[in-house]
Amino acid sequence: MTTEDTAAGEEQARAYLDRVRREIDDEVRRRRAAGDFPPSFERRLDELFARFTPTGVADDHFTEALKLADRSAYFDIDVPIGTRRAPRGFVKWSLWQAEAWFMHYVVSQLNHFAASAMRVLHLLDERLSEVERDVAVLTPPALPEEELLTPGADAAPFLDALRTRLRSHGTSAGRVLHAECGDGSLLASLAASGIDAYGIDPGTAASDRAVQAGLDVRRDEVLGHLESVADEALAGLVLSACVDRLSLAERRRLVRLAEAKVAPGGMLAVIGTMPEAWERRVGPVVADLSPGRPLHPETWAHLVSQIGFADVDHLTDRDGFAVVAAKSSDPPPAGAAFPESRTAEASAGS
Amino acid sequence: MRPARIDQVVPSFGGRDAIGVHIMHLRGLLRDLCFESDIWCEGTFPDVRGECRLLSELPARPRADTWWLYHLSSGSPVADLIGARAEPKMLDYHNITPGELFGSWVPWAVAEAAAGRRQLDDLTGASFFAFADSAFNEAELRAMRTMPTRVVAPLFDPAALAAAVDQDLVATRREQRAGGGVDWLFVGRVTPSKAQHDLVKALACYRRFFDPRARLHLVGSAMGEDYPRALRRFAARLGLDAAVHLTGPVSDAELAAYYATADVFVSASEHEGFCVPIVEAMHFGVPVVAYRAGAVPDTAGSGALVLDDKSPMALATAVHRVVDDAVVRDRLVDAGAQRSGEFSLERSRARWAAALDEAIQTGPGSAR
Repeated sequence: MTTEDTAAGEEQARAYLDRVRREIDDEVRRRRAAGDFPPSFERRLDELFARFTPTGVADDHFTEALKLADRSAYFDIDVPIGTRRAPRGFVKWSLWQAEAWFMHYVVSQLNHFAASAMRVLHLLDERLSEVERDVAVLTPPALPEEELLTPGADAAPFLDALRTRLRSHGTSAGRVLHAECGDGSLLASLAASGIDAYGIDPGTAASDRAVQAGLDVRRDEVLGHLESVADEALAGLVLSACVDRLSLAERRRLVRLAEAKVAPGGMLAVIGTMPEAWERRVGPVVADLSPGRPLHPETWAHLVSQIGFADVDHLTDRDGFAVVAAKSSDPPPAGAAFPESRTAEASAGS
Repeated sequence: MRPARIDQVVPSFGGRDAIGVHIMHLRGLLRDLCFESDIWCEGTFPDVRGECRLLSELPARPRADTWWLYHLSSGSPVADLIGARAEPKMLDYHNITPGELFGSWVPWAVAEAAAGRRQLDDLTGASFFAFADSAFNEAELRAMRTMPTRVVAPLFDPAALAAAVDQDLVATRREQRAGGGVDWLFVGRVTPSKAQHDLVKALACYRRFFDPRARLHLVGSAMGEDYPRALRRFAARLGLDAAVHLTGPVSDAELAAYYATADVFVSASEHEGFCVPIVEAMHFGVPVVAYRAGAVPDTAGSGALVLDDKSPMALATAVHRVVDDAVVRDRLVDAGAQRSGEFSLERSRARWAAALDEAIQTGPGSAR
């Protein structure tokens, strides 16, 4: 085999591997876009590993890091001068004696600085611990996920209104997302009306049933999924189930994400359970221990109008409601997105 | 002018790590080329104590007709000691892992890396010739100083490794494999710069989306305690404690058994000066998927699937493609065998002999 043959073979092999690499990249991109590879899964892996890093704070790692820093924050003035050869030891000892006054002066200042810095860190640790203790009181006790994932309000009574609003706003700007779509009954109805929609649901059983029914449903949680969607990519967003139980902080994120991800002119619908009906349905334990409680339809209407949605309607049924709005093509007024005072009012209202 | 003696010096001499193996082979070559040659170090291990001399025994006065070959891969007071001596010096640069890749996991390695970079500058100034494991390493040398350099791969013998496989371990591994599941393998120090945590993440994706019985074997000794402990806790939290196996240090025969029973070699390492395990895996017919870092593309050539993206999904999908697509796998295995053949001990010795000859022509007293 000549050198030219070898070079040609090498070139062919590289071209083949380049092609395989491109195909792999395309597959990853395609499956991410289709939701087979939920970005939230990768993000959760990163977040989980971050908890085990030396700078992570989980599992009391901060205290461990502080102890490590304590041990390193002392500069030893007594340099080792021991040696196996006597003359060399004498030289080291002589050098040490000659420089000791200088080294003592520098090292004592370094030790003072290190001790002060560590003292500041310990004070910060104490203050943070106090804050964590106070916040822990406000944190609701964990409930098993299957208890929290109780089905949301029935969307059927609002289906005609949703379809009408979606058609009137048009869906050319992108797809419609139904977040926490359960078994996908609403999606099926939308699809039957010719509306391109897909769904997500964190419950395995529900999403499996929907997939078996031939619907485009992915297993994912709402906040993580919305984070991964491009801005203004959705023609419509229907939120249900999650809106009944998310914590106040999570609901604030949800509203901000909805505002960012729905295209101008697109539709936002919140299908929620009436607070009184929700208490009856979930029972006292879940109602008391859930991180969040349903808001009234008036409150949702108020919130979505604050973040640049117009034409806000709310429809009520016996146990549920739907708040439907269209995203204005004009940007929302500065500082309007979920202002703190209004959040407090909204919580009190529920 | 050809010296009578070329002595090698390395801060810490271990007979089984890549640099230690290279130094042993190089001493054999130097002696075959009729040089006197010894290995000097500051510290060593009991199993190779008889192979080297301690620097504490080094005469203070310069030795006549002797050249040094210093192996640089990290910072050490030994570099300053050798740099200050009067004998002519050559440098064999194995690269220094950037300190930031150790982060706060291994604080002493960060300081050592910084010292190593400073000493690299000093030693390139004090040496008349430098060898580099890879074009990547050579580029670093050239960026630092204009000097005669030569890229020449380290000496190791994959064929000898393949000749001594721990058959008991192979049998045990085959029993484990009987229940199905793909076996991933990575060989290298367990340290954040090798990014084994990215392999655990990729395995989590692979098990969820492609093969729920897949396993990951991380072969190699640990650098510090925090990182391997974090890896174990991370794997346990993901429910992968039975699927992620950190072997710790292994013998050559055990290492060969892991190569012999792996389905794919996967590297997510952030930095490599050469990466001997890639070539060893190729020699064992194990397809290689590796993240493009440092010298990995130089070493892999067209014998491995080198990726620009090491996100967990990208790595998992690449491994799935290599394992599941027989055409891709066979082509990688064939190309890998060809590539590893280029690093056979015989060929590498010939390249080193030529490189040494070039260095001698450049050295003190030469006509150039």
